[in-house]
Amino acid sequence: MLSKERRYNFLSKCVRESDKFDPDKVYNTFKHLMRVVEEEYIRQMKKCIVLKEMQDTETHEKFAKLKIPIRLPKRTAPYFGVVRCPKYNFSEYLGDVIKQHWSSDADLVGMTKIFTKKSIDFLEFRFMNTNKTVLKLPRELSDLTKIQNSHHQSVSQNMLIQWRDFLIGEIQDKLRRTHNFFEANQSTYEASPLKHIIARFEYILNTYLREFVKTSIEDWTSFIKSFTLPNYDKGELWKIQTTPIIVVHLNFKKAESKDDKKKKAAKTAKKVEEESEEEANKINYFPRLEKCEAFFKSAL
Amino acid sequence: MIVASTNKVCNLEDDLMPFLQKEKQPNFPITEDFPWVVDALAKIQSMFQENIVGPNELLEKYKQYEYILNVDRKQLIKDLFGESKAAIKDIRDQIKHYDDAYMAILNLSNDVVDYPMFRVMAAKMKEQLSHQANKIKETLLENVYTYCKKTVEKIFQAYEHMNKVIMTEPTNERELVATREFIKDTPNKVEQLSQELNEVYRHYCLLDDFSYKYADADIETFWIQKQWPLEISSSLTDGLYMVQNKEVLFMSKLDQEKEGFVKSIEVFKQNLEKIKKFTNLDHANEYAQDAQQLNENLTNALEKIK
Repeated sequence: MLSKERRYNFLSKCVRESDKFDPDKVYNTFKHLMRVVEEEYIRQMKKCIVLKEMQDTETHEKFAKLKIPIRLPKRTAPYFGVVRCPKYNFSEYLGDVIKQHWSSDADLVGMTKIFTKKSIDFLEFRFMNTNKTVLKLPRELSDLTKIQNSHHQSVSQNMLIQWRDFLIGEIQDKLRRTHNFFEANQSTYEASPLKHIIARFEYILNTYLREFVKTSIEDWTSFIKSFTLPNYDKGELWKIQTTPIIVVHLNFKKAESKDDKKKKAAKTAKKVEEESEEEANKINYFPRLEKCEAFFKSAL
Repeated sequence: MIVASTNKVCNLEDDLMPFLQKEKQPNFPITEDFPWVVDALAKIQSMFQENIVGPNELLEKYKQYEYILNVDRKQLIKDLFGESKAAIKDIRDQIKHYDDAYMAILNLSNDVVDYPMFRVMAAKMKEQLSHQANKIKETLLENVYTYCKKTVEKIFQAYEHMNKVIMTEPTNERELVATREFIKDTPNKVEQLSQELNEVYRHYCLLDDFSYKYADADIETFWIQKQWPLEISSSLTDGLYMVQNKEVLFMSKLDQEKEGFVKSIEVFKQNLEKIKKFTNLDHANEYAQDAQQLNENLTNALEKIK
């Protein structure tokens, strides 16, 4: 079969040039090409099997009868030659390495497993909700903002409580017997192995947190991108969404009567009034498109 | 949001080693200048700019009719139907303009327009804007109708007054002269009123063109005014005949008065001659009475001449 990349390139070319050819002709060409590719693939597979069989000397007679030349992989000697390693106490060195390595501590290994598993599990989440089925788009901007804020708040809380705080609890629980978490002296702590262990977990956390943030940002931009039209000339290709993201209303603010203005003046500041005066009887989108843009950007 | 929340995730050491009393530091410090964030913002900005072109074009279409929301109807009515009424062509142009705008607004777009990123709900705007255009049109038609009704009423009053004046019997020479002058000017007035009525007819046609529903009674009243010229014509004949009769009557009466006046003058002459013969003061009382009487008679005669 074709690789994913080749399939993508082939399909994008077909889409790009779809209006230049007769659809039936394109279909037949495509069908023929696929057949050629499949045949080629089968041939290559068979060749691999035959070459593998040839490595066994007992089969050589069979191939000779079939008049197939024997092809064996060639082994070449290194240019600078090979020097023999002097004898040493491997088991002693191995013991030292094992002792030095963090994996010698079963608690630490267990903790690392838990830490990694929890972090990998958390990577399933995203800062922003981009699940189109759940979001039931299109929606009003206010609704969408509420949903995203609620989702973001929930994920942030989970991140702090179910991820970070859980890991802190686990670390203290697993390592408290062998390490002193109540050390008050900075220099003693700096020289202790606990410093290295914590630093290690910090790095692991940092790695997953980076990945989580990067994935969330990319996911959010991809989510927005999926609601745009691909530019075939630039080789872009993705599924076009059947529904948009945000509902906007064409509307205008009615000019207020004098009585209303007097009432409002008593309640609100002058600035607000001036703004409403400017917008009165002017057609615009509600919410404004600028607000929609601000919403997209505010996610970051 | 993402940047702020990421910075809330602090280093584990801060909580794991509480007695070191270290200041809390974010595990992955990130700002809005971080390349991922900058790139994402740039991408969002670019995608947004590409996708607001369609909605903005639609907005521009609607903005073409934004002026309808700011039309001062009172001022418009004042301009067209104020002290000097505008020509029917101008009124028709204005009504047609708002009628066309009404239709154009309804056909500006579908009620719901889907763009890749935005769903534009235009139904309410269409309804409000078209309603406003229709309201202005209806106000103009209403005023045309009011003009028609008022003018017909005015014409009716004029004809009725004309008829009444023509048919009123003059009681003296002055009234006779006034009636004769009025009758003389009547054909011009009838012509002027007919023209006004034709103008009203053109306004009714204008109302018909825009399917304006007016009361049947009003159009009946309008057509009734068409009969007035004939009635006035008939009244003129009668009025002229009556004036001529009255003229003869007044002439004969005047002759009789003239004769009586001449006779009384003769009597006054004789009285004067008699007074002239006054020489004896013993008869002074008698002559004084005669002189007084003559003086009164002469004053009365002078008044009559005036």
